[in-house]
Amino acid sequence: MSHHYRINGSMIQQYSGKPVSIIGTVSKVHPSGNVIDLETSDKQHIVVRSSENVNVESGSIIEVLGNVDNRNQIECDMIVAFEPEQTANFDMDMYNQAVMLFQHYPQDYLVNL
Amino acid sequence: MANQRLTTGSLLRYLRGNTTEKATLQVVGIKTIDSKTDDPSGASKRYRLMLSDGKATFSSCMLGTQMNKLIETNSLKENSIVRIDRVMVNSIDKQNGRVMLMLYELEVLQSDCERIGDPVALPLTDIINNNGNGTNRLETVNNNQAQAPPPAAAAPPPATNVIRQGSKALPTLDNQKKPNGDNRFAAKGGGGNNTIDKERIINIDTLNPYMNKWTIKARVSNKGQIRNYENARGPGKLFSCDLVDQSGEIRATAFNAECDKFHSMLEMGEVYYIAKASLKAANRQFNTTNNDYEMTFNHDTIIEACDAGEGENIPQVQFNFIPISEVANRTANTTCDVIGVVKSTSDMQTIVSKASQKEFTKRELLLVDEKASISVTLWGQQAEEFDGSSHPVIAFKGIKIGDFNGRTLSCFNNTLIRHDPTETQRTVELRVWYDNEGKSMDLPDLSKGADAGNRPTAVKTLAQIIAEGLGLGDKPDYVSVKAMSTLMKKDQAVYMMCPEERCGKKVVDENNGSYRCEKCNKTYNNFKWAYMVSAEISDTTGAQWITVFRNEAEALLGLTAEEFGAHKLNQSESIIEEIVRKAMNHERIFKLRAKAEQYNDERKIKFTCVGISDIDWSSHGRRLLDEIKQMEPVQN
Repeated sequence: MSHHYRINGSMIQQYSGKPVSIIGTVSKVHPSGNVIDLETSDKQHIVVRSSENVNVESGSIIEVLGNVDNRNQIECDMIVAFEPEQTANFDMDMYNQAVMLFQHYPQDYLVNL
Repeated sequence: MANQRLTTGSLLRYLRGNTTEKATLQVVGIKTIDSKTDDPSGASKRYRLMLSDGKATFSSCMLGTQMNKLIETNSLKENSIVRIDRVMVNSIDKQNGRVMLMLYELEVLQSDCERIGDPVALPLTDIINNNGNGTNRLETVNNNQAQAPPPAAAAPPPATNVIRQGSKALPTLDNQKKPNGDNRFAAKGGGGNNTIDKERIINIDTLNPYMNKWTIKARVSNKGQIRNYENARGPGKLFSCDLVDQSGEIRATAFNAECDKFHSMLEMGEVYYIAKASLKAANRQFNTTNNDYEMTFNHDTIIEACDAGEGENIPQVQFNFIPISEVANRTANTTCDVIGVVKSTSDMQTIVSKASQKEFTKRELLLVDEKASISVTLWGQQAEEFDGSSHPVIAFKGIKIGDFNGRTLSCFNNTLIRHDPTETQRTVELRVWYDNEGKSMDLPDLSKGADAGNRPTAVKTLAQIIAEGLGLGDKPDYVSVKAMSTLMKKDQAVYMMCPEERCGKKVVDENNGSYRCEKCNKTYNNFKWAYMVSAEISDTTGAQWITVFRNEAEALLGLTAEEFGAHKLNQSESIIEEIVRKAMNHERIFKLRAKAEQYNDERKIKFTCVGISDIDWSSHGRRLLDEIKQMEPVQN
C-alpha cells in the first residue's frame, strides 16, 4: 500500500501524479453522484472524481485518498466520511497549518515508513 | 522557438523559504561535482546548476541525482528552460549566507533556447558583516569594484556564466540612481551611495538578510532608553526601537557609536527613510515583533527624516496580541503584547528594593479580556500618570511576563502603553463587551495564587519538569502534563478513613467492628473509604509516580471510593483489575503540584494530582503550533 501525502488545495499542482490525502468540507455533490466539489483546508475548491457513487452529505467533513491527475483533480480510491459528532470540534484551520508544517519539514514528518 | 516566460523574483522567494511555487527558470550554467562516495557504480556525479529567473541568477542549485540523466542525454543543458516541481532550501551556514537550493524534481520545458534577459547574480551578503565586504560574488567589467576577493563561502561560478550586463550601465564612481536589477558594489568605496534611494522603498515584511539594496520608510513606534551593558568584550551601550510600516514591523538596535548617533536623531512617532542596516534572525525571547528578523544599525546605515506629510499613510504601531489566558502558557521573563480593559486600579505604592535599597513607586491594575484577568504593574512616571478611572481599553506592547503567584505582567522601560488604540479592532470589541457584560463578570484571575484547581498552568513534558527542577523552590509549583497512567498500586488505592468530617486520618481496624482514630482520639464503629492512589504516569519523555486523591481519583478510576472499597472488601479481584485496566493507557491532562519534601537525609519531589481533564485536541494542537513557531527563527 502506498503512503499518501497529506496536502491542501494549493499543493495539488505540486503533487501531480502522486497519492495524496486531502481533508475538506463537501461543498457540492454532483447529481451523477460520482463527482464532489471539495473545499480544502486552505479554502480552495477542488474536484474529486470517484468510480463509484459517493455517499456523502454536503457540508460534511471527509478525507479523500487518491491520486492527483493531470487536470489537478483527484481520482479518488477511497473516501472516509466522518460522523458529525467526530468532526464537531475539528479545527480545520489548525489542520491546514499542520499540513503546511509537514511540507515544510519533510524530514521530521515521515510519510514513507 | 517561442520564448518561455521566466518566473521573475522566484529565486529570491525560494531562498526565503517559499518553496511551494513551481517556477520556470533558465539554466545559465552547469558544473560537475565529483562526489567521493562508495558507490561502486561510479554514478556519483552531482551537477550544480546556475539558474536564472530572468532578472536574477543563483549559482548554488544542486540537481537531484535522479535527474542526472537529463544532462547526460543532453536534454538539460546551458540555456534550457526548466520548471521546478519540487525544491528545498538547504542552509549550510546561514550566518554567512551559504544557502543552497536542492532541486528534487524538475521538468525540461525547452532544451535549446537563447539566453533570456540580462540577469544579475543575487546578492548574498554576509549577514553579520554587512559592510559591503561580504560575499561579493559580483564580477563586473569595472575593475575598481572587484575589491573583495571571492570568498571561500560559495565557489564563484565560472566567469563565462555570470553577469551579462549587456548595454546596461554599470555602477560608476559617481552618485547615480541604480538601474533595475541588483547591481552591487563595495558599498563604501565605489559608487559612494550616501543618499537614500527613494525609488527602492520596499515593505518591512520583505526585508531579509539576502538583500543588499533596500530602503524602508517607517515610523518609530517605540523608542527605548539607552542602556549600558558589559560583556566579555567590555562595556557598551545600546538602544532599541520598533519600526513600523503598512506591511509590518521590525525591531532595530543600535550599539555604541550608532547608539549615540541615532538615539538623539530618532524621535518617537516620526517617519524616516532607512537604508543599509544589518539583518539577522530575531531573538524571540525579547523580540515579540511579528518578524523573523531584526535589524542592527551599523556604520553604513543611512537614516533620513521624512518630509512632513509624506509619512501619513504609515501606521503608528503594530501589535501582536495574545489573549490574557495565553499568558499562562508563556515562559516567565519573556515579553508579549496584550490588550484589555482596566477593571480596577490601585493607588500609588512605594516599595524599597531589598537588593538595591532603592525606592520604587508603582501602581497595579487589573486588566481583563473576555476570558481571563491579570494583574499589571506600572512603575515610576508611567504609574503616576496613569488614570484608569474610566475603565479604558489599554494595549501593552512588549510587556514582561512575571510568575509571581501565577502570572503577572510588568512594564519594562521599553514597554509601549496605548490608551484606546485605534489600530486594532480589539479596542471596539473589548469596549462593547465590557460595557455590556464584562464589567460584572468574574473572570479566572491568572494572578491569584490561591485556588490550585482554577489556576491555569503551563503544559510541560515530564522531562522538562525534572530538568527545570519544579518543586525545589520554597513554594510548590503547579504544572500540567499530557500523559497517561501506566502503572497503579491497586492494592493500596483506598484506605479506611476516619468518618469525622474534616479529619481524613487513617483509622486502625480493631477487627471487632471498631475503628480507632488517633488524631481524634476516638473509636468509631464505622469508617469511610478514601482514595490515595499511587499511579505512574508516562509521556514520550519519561515517567513519574504521582499521588491522586478524592475527586481526581474518582475521575481517573470512574467510580467512588466507597464503591471501590466495597469491591475490595468483597475481594472482587477481577472487577478491580478491570477498573484499573480501563483507567490506564488513556491520555489525559494531569494538573500536578510539585513540592520537595525531606525524607531523612533525602530531599525528594512529591507530585500530587490536583486536576484531571480530557485533552482538548484543538487547543493542544494550537499550543504545539505556537511553540514550533517560537522555535523557528527563520524558515528552514
